[in-house]
Amino acid sequence: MIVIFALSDEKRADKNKRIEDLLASIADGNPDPMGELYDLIKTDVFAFALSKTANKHDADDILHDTFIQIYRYAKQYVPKGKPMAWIVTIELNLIRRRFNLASRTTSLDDAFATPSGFDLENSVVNNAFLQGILSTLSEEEREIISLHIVSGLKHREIAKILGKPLSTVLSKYNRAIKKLQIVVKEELYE
Amino acid sequence: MNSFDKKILDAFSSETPDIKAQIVADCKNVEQVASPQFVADEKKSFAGVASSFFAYVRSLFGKPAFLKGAVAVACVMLFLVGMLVGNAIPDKINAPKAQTAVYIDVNPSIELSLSADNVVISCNANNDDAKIILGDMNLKGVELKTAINAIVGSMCLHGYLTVEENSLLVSVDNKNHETAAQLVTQITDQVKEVFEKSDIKCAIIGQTVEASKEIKDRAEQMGISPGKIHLLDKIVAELSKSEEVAQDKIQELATMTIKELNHLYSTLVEGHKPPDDVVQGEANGFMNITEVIYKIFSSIKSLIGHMDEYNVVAYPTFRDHKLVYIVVLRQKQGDAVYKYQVDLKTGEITEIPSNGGQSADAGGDNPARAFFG
Repeated sequence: MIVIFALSDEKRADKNKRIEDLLASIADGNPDPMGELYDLIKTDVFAFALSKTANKHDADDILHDTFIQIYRYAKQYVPKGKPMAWIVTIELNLIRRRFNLASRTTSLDDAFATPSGFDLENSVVNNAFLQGILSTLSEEEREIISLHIVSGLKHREIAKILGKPLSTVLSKYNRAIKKLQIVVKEELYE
Repeated sequence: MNSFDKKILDAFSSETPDIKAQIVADCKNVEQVASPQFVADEKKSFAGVASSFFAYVRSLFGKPAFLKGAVAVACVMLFLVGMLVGNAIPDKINAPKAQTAVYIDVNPSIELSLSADNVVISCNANNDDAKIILGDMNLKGVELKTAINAIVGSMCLHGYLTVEENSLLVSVDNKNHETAAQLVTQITDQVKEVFEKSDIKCAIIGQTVEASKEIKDRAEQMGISPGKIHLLDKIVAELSKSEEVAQDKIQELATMTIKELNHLYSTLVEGHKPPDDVVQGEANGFMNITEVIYKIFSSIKSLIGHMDEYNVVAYPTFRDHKLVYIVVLRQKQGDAVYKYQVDLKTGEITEIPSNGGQSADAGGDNPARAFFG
């Protein structure tokens, strides 16, 4: 078990190192490394956006805008070995701004709809298990799952980014995993 | 990664769109934002010197393990030295006394305490957004100018000051009113200078504030800064010149963004701005008073006739969590009076019944009102 964690940490460190190298090249005003950066972290960025919004169209937009912001502000990144925390913070602010603006411009009917609620009927998400994740978990549970499992952030890093106590993050993570295990079992018996 | 985690990863991965080519192409049209000024200026502070030292060590050895050890040893030594020095020197000599408080509000609300020579003694985040802005920044011991650059730079970086959200409130509290007024001008000029080089046209309201215990208590109770409370009090005072203001109006006003408050206040005090206030730039995205008047006449022309037949009074206010103009049309040759409410963001026009609860009369002495006809 220890070996598995060690390997996983090493892989993560390698990925972070590569992201930082790419950010350094991008900071020189060269947009070409954005392609490799996209390949490296597109799922991380998309998963967090989809977890927060539960809306494929919004998540697609946020994915695009986050990469544009990464390019715009690459010069301001200070290498500390944690580029994903910086990227997630940029993305989180984009999402907050998007919903703050939306809440001030949508109609009364729209205002009563929960922005984080998943609408299965109008969903354009095709993957059945992903539909299960989006419809079963709460927004907070989804974001913790995506940041930990997809982006590989540690629970204490997630707690810091989301401004929540570590104990809350851990309990929500465990609860989410249990819920998803039930989803998988139901999938198997269907 | 176990198979369950992989299943989750694969699920997200299967739905991730491939827009790589589009992103690379779009980035070619994006101008990069240079490193904020504070990175260079930070070196003046102890934190900056320490940071440079560790960066230098990192460049020499490049081994995180060594660096962690060096940092740990340095921290222990600093702690021990601090204990010795701290115990030997009385607290009163040790800590510089705060002479000035500067409150910076966008939605993030940040409070800086300054020494007599305008060096930051402490920096507090008054809400969660402010915690994001400050992040790991240590502004203690930093000159005010550097701190302002760092905070404004971080607000832009984190998307709190953008082309759409372009308003900032700066409030300065100092026992010496003249010093406070000078600082207001200095800070607002500095912020203006930062934005002159960018696409963002920032609207700034600068004000002096005497943050009494009563103001601080109210601010704490409402979860906003004393600077914002002071602005709300001034807005209520201005609004009360035009209409009866309910006791709880301030609670409603507190829910407005700084951008909305900025627009409301700058319109209300237009032509009679208090001398110490600085009002620079315009909060974008709102209709101005001329647009409002013409919108009303073009919408209801067939109903009420020509604009020349009316005296028009219009003033901004806040209704049902919306920034609106109240427009009163009073027929010159007759008794007809029409009252309308125009949403400044959406342009939606609502007629207010003449016997309605709003006291949108055409009298009063508010200079912010616009008279036509």
